Amino acid sequence: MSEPNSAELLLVEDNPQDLELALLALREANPATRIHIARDGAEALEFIFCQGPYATRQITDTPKVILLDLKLPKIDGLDVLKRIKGDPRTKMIPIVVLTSSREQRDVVESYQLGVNSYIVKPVNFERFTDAVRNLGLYWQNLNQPPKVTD
Amino acid sequence: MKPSLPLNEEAERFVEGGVDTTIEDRRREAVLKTGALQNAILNSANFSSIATDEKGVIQIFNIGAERMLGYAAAEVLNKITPADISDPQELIERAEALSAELGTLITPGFEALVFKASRGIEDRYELTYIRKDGSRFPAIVSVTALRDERDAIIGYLLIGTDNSARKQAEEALAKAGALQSAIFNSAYFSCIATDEKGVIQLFNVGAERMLGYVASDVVNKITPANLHDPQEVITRASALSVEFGTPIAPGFDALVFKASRGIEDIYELTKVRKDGSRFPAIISVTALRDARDEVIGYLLIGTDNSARKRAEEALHKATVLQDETVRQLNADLEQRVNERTAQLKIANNELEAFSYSVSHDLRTPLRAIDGFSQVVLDKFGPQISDDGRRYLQTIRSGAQKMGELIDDLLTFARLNRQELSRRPFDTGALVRAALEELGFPWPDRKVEVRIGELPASSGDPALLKQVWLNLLSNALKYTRKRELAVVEIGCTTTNDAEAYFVRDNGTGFDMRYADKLFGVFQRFHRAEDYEGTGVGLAIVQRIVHRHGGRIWADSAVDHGSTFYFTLGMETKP
Repeated sequence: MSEPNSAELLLVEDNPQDLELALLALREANPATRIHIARDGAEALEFIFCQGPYATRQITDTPKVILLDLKLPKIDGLDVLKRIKGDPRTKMIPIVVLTSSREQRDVVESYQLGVNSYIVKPVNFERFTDAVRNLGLYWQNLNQPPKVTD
Repeated sequence: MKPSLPLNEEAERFVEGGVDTTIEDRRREAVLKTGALQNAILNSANFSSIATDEKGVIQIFNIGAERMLGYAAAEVLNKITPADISDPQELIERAEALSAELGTLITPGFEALVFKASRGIEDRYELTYIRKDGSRFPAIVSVTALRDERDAIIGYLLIGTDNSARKQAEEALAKAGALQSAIFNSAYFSCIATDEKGVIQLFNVGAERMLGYVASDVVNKITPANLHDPQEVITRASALSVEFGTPIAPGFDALVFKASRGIEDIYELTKVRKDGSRFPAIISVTALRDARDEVIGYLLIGTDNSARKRAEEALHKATVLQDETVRQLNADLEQRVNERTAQLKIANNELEAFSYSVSHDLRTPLRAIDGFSQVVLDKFGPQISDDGRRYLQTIRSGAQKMGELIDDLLTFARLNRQELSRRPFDTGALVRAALEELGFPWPDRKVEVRIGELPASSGDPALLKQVWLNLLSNALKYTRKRELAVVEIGCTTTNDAEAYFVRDNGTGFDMRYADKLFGVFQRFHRAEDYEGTGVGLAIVQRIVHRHGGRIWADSAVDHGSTFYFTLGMETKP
């Protein structure tokens, strides 16, 4: 379901159930969205920075939005956030943290690193789908990102 | 006593009375003059003149005698002899002594007082006179026999002086002499006297004992400077040179310079014994001066300070030890505090990691349970029976309930870690905000909210809003079945502080279970009657306690409840 080299939305999620529920919600909102899935922080960075299996990608071919979980294998979500927001080529990509954590320090640190939005995944499925659908719609369709130039 | 001038005048008058200048006249004049002198002597108050007849009966008793002995002349003249006013025991002793001396028996009476004089021997002796009041005093008595032209004894003259003062002085002198000699011969301090150049002239027993020299080793040979630590003498000399602004040689001068200037000088120096061993000494120096105030020598009195020094050192050591002990204890304490703090930090970090993990990981499976139940309902709803759909709904509500429990527990756990940010705030505004957050004025219910006087308080407004939210939502929850719910909010004064309260007319609870009211997961009602996680009041209590306050409740089943809380003394408005 994911395009190897180009995507409108990068979903970084390690938990298969959360991943499936998120995809259900996103598809329901817009079945045509090109979604790429990264299962850990390292893979997310390889995709964005066109390394490893994604070496043929163009770094300018950025997704419209990244949905990022914080608790991730290999490279933590906050580190992913730091790397992307710390690089002039990628810092304009909108990133939405979508996590289970209500911990204040995660929220504060995410915003300090330049996150565009921080959403706590609700247990209730309707609210979860609402949240995912809304932010998917918002960042893909309504938000007008600035043109990234090198 | 009369001054001499009138006596002289009297004598002159006599002289003027006889103008004739023959030899006889001159002789008479001389006799008169002598008589005047005798008169003066006789009338002196400073010595007693007692004249007797040849048998000893008193014939003259002058003013001095009256004053000294307390008798009036009339009381003694022609009545008693001087033996009657003398110590009888001394008379006996004197009679015995004279009898032995002169080889003839002398009676212990008046004879004993005048015997020598009667034999023409000059006699001056010491005797105790007894006054009229019985008191005694030592007297020096000088006795003369009075003779007529034929040299026959016609009486005696006893002239006495009061010897008390001299006696006392003598005694004092003897005592002082004994004292001085005792001091000088004491073995406990060294007395070293030198001539004005410092050469030792006297070296007492104490000095011998302390320093190990015998007097002959040092007298006329060395100065006290040779008995001291040379380095200390040099140090003292340079210190004194600076103090007095004049060069002082590091020798005997350094030891006596201050004393030579008349300055009292006591100092501590190390003395060196004959065998080379040393001891600390306290030395007191005095300049010895002659009648013209010229310095003729010095006296150096020294005491061995070893014992005191040792005591001081022991004391110092003890003090150092004590300081060290205290320091060690403090260090231990500090270390223990640090260790505890570190342990606490670790525990806190673990707790935080735990909460973090709970926050992340426990919710994820719940979301899967709830989410996939819903997916099943969405995708396969028509193929499932009504029971099956109800079961799936039950699974969902169980998962959601657990989500709430986790959220409440995390809130509760976070209360201990969270810093209080205290500041004054408007309680009334906080309460109104809480009511609005809870959906005031609840158009689908009949709720009467009465807000009384609410004094401003100080504390963490965010946390205290949680308190009001929980108490007010409880009040609303447990009045749900009332036709008209009444919620009363106010402040009352209890014995220690202002207590805020929330009162409702709800179902209330049995006060027998009041102790369980604020425990975590404690519920008083069945879940199907009143929803809840059982954490709300535990959160309220923890916040109140963190503010140093107290919370309690008053209730009766079916008669509503009142919850009171204070914010501690220091938060009193």
